[in-house]
Amino acid sequence: MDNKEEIFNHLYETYFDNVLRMCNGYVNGDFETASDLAQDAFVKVWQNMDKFEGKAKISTWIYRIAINTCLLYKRNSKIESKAIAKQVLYDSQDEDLQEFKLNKMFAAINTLSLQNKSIILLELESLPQKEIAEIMGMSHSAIRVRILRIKEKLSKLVKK
Amino acid sequence: MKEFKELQSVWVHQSLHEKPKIDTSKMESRILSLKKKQHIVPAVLGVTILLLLIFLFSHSTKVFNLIKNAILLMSFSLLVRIVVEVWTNIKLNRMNVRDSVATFHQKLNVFEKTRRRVHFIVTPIVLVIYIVAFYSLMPFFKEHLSAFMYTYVIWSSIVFFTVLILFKLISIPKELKLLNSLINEAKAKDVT
Repeated sequence: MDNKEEIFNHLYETYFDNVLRMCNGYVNGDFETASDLAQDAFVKVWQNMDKFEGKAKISTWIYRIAINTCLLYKRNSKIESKAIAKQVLYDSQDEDLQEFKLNKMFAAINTLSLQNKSIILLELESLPQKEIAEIMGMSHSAIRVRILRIKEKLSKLVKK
Repeated sequence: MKEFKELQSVWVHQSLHEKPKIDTSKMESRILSLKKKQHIVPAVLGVTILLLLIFLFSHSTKVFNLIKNAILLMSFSLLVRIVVEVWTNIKLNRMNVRDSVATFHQKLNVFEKTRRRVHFIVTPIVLVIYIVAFYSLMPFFKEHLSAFMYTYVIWSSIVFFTVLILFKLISIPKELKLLNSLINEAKAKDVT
């Protein structure tokens, strides 16, 4: 196994789940499409690995590629036509409650603009705001204000 | 923000299926096959042009100017379509996924608007030119084909062009809807 392959496998193991969750948010809980998108993103990571200059953190670089891959997918306008994540009726069992909340989150995230969607999906992955700003190509202060607004909006929508 | 922390916890604990295995040795072939897919449409249209031109040059002494012009027009309209397709692919391949999201989004919007403008104007013109040129070949077909084949060419072409035009008419509102959503996205970015 050469060095590139070794590094790639490590990145895949470390970041795949985060990227997959993010893609899942973009496609409204359509897990199959999200999985394809996440894999496409990692194909692009592999394709561009030689061009990584080390100016940003590797995670910043991977998240940029992942979000841009989702934006390219949106270009084909398939997201709207995909079914919204299945609705689960409220049940006292914890698991169903979690799924119920998750579906409400997908629906709420889907109401946001593409940029706000990207920002909140990164925030949900607990990325530092400075890194989110770098990924998005916006100032730290602008991101801070934006995150606060989106968090409030999202919480309200899920609570409804 | 306690509520958001709870949402965050729900989010990170969503059940994900087992991580799909990724085979790096097959990565290059996957990239190559994606690139090959982009060449299918230009290749098919290119072969059609080639066949038309072969026909034209092999019969150049026997066919009238009207037929020559019709074949040249058909080839020209297909060539325009190839140029549009290749241009789209080149532009798309040049999009840098390593750009910041804001830059990438902006470039994508510009690309989409230009592409759609080109498709809305160029595609219908190309289609009309092709259809007119094709039907001006009818006297030639009538003279050189059997009655059965001539009737077949007429009816199959009517069905083919009708389906093609209907498909275009159906896709226009969808394209407009997507374009509007992209424009609204860009506006939302400025407002939020």
